[in-house]
Amino acid sequence: MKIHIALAGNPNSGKTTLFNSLTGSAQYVGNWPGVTVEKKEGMLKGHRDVIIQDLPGIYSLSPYTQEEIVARNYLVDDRPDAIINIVDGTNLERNLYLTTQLLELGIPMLIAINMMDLVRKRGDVIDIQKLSESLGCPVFELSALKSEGSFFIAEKAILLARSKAVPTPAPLLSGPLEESIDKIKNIITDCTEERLLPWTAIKLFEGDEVLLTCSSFADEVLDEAERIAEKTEKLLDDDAQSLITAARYTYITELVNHAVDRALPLHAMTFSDRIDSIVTHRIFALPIFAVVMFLVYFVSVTTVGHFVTEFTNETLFGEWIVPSVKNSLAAYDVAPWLISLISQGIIGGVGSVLGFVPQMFVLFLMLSLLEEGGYMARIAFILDRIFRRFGLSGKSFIPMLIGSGCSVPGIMASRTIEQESDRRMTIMTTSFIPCGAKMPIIALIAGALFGGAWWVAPLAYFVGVTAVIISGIILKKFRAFGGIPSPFVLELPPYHWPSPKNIWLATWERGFSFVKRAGTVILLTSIILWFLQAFGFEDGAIHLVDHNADSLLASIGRVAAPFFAPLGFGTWQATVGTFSGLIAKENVVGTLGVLYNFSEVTEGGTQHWNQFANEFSALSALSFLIFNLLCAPCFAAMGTIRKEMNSGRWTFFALLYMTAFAYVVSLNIYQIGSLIKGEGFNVWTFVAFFTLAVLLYLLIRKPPADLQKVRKRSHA
Amino acid sequence: MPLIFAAIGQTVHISAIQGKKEMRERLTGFGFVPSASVKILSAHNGSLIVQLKDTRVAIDHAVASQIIVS
Repeated sequence: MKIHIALAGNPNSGKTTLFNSLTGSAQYVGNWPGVTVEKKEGMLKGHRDVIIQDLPGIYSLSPYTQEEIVARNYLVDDRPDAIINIVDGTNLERNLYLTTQLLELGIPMLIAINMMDLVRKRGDVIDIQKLSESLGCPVFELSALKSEGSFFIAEKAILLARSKAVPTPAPLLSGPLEESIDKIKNIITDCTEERLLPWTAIKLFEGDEVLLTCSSFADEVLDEAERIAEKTEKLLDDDAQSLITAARYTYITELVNHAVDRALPLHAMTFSDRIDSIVTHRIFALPIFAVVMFLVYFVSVTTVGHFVTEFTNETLFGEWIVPSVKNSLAAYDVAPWLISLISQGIIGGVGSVLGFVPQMFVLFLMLSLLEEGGYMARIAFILDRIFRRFGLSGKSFIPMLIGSGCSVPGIMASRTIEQESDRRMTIMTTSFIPCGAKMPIIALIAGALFGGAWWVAPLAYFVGVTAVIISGIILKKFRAFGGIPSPFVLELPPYHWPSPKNIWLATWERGFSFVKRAGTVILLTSIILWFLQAFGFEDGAIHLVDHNADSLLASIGRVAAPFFAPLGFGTWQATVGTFSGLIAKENVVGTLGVLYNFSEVTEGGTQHWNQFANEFSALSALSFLIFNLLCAPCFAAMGTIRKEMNSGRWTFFALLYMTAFAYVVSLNIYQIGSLIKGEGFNVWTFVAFFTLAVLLYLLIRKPPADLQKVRKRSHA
Repeated sequence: MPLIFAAIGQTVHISAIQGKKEMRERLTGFGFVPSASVKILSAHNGSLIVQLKDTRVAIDHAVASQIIVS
């Protein structure tokens, strides 16, 4: 029999850190709530028969958010053999609220007071003995970040699971409340397992919706429980749920007063508060945010990243690898087509993607520094005020921030949004924010056509944010997305110095997936693309062609190219590139690498992007870049959209919306740009003006009357 | 009075939480319960950052107006 041990606790209390050290896995940990949205399991190191289950962070066992439902269903229905309840020692009162609920589940449980290093640093003293006596279960100290006590606690949990000893907390309730719960226990005692009695009785008293709809209680039992609850509500003049909540907090406050000796008075200004007073300042907050994001993109694309990438592309591949591979292949009399496949197809395709990996690593490093440090949660708060005006809540921004690394986890993070319409809108707009894989496209355009200009990368980022805001305004006026944005309540974790290990894990995990993709998907598509561009129909048979303009790929690309012509990049190469971006966005660069032969060292040996640059003007390159940033995301992200929307129709609509939006924006940039450059009118100029007018109408039109009412009420 | 009227730096006590059951339940999980003390750390356009026990919580205008304090 395998032993299942669940890790349960508040968001950001260190569950995932503990999970990583116990199982030796490398799950990403962020310093903000909601990093774990799904449960994850792993084997305890050195114990084949022990499964550790990481649950999403939750504040209570009420069934209102997705994470709470996931955690609660697991605990109540799957019943782990033991629970390790991780409690943030710097924040005992709030964390113990969940603890009092977990204790009622009748599952063997121990409490791990985490962040003990911080507690000690603050000078607080927690009386473990007293806590353990009152809560009726073992309590241990832990510093998950420093791996102090992790395995000791796991061993204790195994023993506890084997002993099957359930917690015996000091009674929570008293007086009429206790009597009522006892009465309910009496009426359900025949049809309920004994260890589930406390939990079930309290939930029936509270009128818990999920329990009421899923349980198999007879109607008489439910009615009787409701009568008891109503009587008590009248007697104590409050609703059942508030009564229980108040009882829990009274219990906790008393317990904490006895067991914790505080060095500082409550409500003292902390270091975090001082930082917050600056970065969430009424006036400075937004400029600071803009500067921070600018720096992130500027540093990763233009300075450090650019330097490393240039070295990789020009020296490593351009001067060392490609010539030496070619020479050695030629020395062995390898067929010319095979040399071309290897140097142009494989090294050109995979290499041009790998060349941008350093930039991605720098970007991921900077993003994880922001997350780890605690600034990301503040961004959500700062932007809530702005987003709310456009009908989105600041919570929508969390998926987008995660999405700046990769859209897939970003889209999944939309689950923390309670309201369905907000959730859908967030899913539809998350991939507008340039993800890590779009970084190579940005860097390529910036490098090849704008001479590595400093403003291209930040511009791409702000185009993404603007696209989100515009979409928010437009979609909110449709009935399907109308309504008040989700209420915003978010915990702001204290700032802390990021741990190098965690930063490394986060950066490596995200960055390495690109290296892996370069070796698999990109390698494969590069080879296929090389064949398609090397062979063509001539005189009714397939031949190796001298010019890839005569190739099969060119004929395929030319079919769809007219579609992109109004956007300024109707060449077959750009068309094929855009389509290959659906496999993975960095593939766009890989494809262009094969088609424009980036691996070829040109005369002088410094500029590889000449041919590519010649076929684009600054305007068409910008249009190409923006279309590829905004259009339908890669297949992996599409799959995630399908999963999270849980509807084929909505998925189709989302993808159509993104692509249409991208088309309209690019069309306007190219056509209006050309007009300004003095290239005169053509039929597409008028189409561009027409789409612009439609866009403006959708932006400024009044929402339907009933939606307006809802809005007004929310402002009242 | 609703929490939105409290001044920055002021410490107030919660007397009641209004609004839908779901929202109340969520606020409860964060520690917004009657008699709890709340300190206003900062405010912008009705959105607040408050200190509640040892936690800093950001809440928007709509939520803050449902929390009645004295």
